[in-house]
Amino acid sequence: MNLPNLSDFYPDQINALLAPADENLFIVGPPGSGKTTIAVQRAKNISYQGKRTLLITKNRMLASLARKLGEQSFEVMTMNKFVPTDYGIRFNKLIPKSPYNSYQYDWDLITAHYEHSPTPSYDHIIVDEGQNIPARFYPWVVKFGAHNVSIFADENQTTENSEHASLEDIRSAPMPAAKHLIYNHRNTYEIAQVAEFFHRSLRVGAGIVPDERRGEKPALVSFDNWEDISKKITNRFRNRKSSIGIIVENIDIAQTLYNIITRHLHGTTSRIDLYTHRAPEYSEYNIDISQDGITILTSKSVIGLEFDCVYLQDLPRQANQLSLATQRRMYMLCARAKKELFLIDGPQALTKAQLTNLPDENLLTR
Amino acid sequence: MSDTASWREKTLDHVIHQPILKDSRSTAGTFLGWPKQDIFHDVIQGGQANFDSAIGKLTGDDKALLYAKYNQPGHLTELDSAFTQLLKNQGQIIQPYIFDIGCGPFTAGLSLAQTIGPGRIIHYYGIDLYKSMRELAGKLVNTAKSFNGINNASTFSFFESLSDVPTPQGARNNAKIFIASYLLSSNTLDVNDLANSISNASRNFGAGPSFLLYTNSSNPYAARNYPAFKTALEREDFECAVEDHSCIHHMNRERKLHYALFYKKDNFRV
Repeated sequence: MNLPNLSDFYPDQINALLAPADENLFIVGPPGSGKTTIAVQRAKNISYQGKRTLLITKNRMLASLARKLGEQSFEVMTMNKFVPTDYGIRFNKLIPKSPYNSYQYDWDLITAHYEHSPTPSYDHIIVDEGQNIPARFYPWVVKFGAHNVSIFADENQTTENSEHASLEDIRSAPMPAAKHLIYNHRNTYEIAQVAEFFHRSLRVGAGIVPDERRGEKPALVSFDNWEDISKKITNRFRNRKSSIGIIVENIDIAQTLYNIITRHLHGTTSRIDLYTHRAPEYSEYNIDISQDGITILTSKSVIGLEFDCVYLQDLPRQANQLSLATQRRMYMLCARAKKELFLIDGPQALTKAQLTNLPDENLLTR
Repeated sequence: MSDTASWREKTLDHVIHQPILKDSRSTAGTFLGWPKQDIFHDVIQGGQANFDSAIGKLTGDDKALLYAKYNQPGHLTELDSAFTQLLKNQGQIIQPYIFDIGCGPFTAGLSLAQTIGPGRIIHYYGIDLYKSMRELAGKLVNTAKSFNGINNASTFSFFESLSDVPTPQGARNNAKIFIASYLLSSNTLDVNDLANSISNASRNFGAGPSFLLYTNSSNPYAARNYPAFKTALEREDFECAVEDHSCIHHMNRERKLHYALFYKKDNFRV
C-alpha cells in the first residue's frame, strides 16, 4: 500500500502569523487558541516595519497584559479610550453619544463627521477579543481607523448584542473571510472537557488540546461560608505557589473575599489583587495576573485572561435547562484555567436540580 | 503467551483464542464442534453470514467469535500497514473521531490503537449491523484497556447504524476518519445510503477535514460495489486522493488488496 500521511492535508495555521502587514486579516478562534498571543506578535511584527500600530481590546486588564507582552513596541488602548481620543484630536470636541443611551456612541453622527476627515491616523489597527466590541465600530475602524485592520475574535458569548459583534458583523465591515484557529494552547485535556460540556457555538469549534497535556480532573467543592473557602484557597496557595484566579458573581463578593484573604495572608509578601469591571482606571497597571499570587475578579472582568488555577464561584443558578447565553458564559469562564479548575458551590448550596446543569462525575469530581 | 507479547496479542488471546480452545465443544478437528476446514464457508460464509442468527448448535455469538478467529488476522495485517502510513507521525491529527463502519470484532480499532500507541487519544464509534459483533467488540475494548493498550481518555461506543451516533453539542474542529474495510462485499448494502450517512456524520461532527479509508479484496465480485460507492462519495464532495491494488504478505501468502483514500477538506470559514 502507498498512502499519504493525513497531516499533509491539514490547513496551515502559520499563515495567520505570516499575513503581510498591508493586508486585512480576520482570525476566529475559541478560548485558549492563542488569539492574544498571535495578535501581540502581529502587532510587534508590523510595528518593527516602521508602521504606526495600535492594538485595541475591550478589557483594560487585557490591554495592560498586551502592553507588557508587546514591550512597548506598539500602542495599546481599549476601544472606549481610542474612539473618543481619535475623535477629540480630529474634531476638538467631545464624541457624540447616542440620544437613547449615554453609554453608547452615536455612530451615525461620528461616521458622518469622519467623511470630512477620512485619513486614518494609524497604519495598522489590531483588535483582540473583537466579539466584545460593538458591531458599529467595525465599518468605522475599517474605513477611518487605519489603513489596514486585523481582527481576532471568538463567537459572541453573550446576548447583549448592542455592545457586541457577531462574526457576520465583523465580516461585513468589510473584512476578508476568517481563518480559524483550531487548537487549544491553554487548558489541560480535563479542563477542556468541562469547558466543552458547555460549548454550544455552532461556528467556532472547541479547540483541540494536545494528547499529552493532561492534569487533574476538575472538582466541585462545597463550602458554607466565605471564611472556609478563603482558608482552603490560601492553604492551597501556600503549599503550591501559582497564579490563582477567583471568579465571583459580583463586586460585593469580590470585596468580601479580598478582605478575608488579605487577612489570611497578612504578613506575607504574597500578591493579592482585586480586579472588577468597576475598578478605577489604571489600577490594572499595577496587577500582573501571570505572577504567583491571588487575583479576585468578577466574571465580567475576566474575558481573555488566564490563570494556572481557577476557583469559579459564579455558577449558574437556573433550575431548568441553561440558556444558550449561560452555557456560553460557562464555557468562557471554565476555559480561563490552565492547569486546575475548581467549581466552588456556596455559600448557598446549589440545589439538586441546579447541580444537574453541571458535568457529571465522569468529567467533574464531586 | 510470553510475557513480552503485545497488549493486542494478549487481548486477542484472552477474548478470542482461549475461549474457543477451552470451549467444551472444541476438539482436535473442530472449533466449537464445527469442522475447522468448513468454518469459513459454512459458518462465516466468507464474511457475509448473519452473525445474529444461529447455525446448527452455534449461536450468533459463537459465529462472531469464529469470524474473529478466521477473518480478523488478515484484516489486521492490512490495516496495520494502512494506519502506519496514514498516521505515522502524530502530526496534526489529534483526537480524531473514528467511524469504523462494519467494525466487526473491533478490527480497525485494534489496529489503530496499536499504530498510534496508548499515549494518544481517539474517539471511536464502531458501527455494526450485528449485536454479536458489537458485544464482542465491546469485550475487546475492555480487555485492551485492562492490558493498558488504550489511552484512558479515549472513548469507544458501538451502534447498529451510523445515523444512531449522537451528534456532539457545539462545533468541533477534530478530523474525522471513516473506515470502510471489507464493507462493500455485502449484498445488503446500499452505497448511496452509505455515502449519504457518511456525509451527514461528517457534517454533524464539525468543520474539520474528513478522510475515508476503503479496503477490500481485489477479486472483482467483492469490489463490484466500489464504482458506485466512489461516485456517491464524490457527489458528497469527497475527493479520491489515492486508489490502487496491492499485495500484503500475511501468514506465508500474498493477499491481494484493493484500497483507496478519500478526502473532504475542512470547512473552517465564516
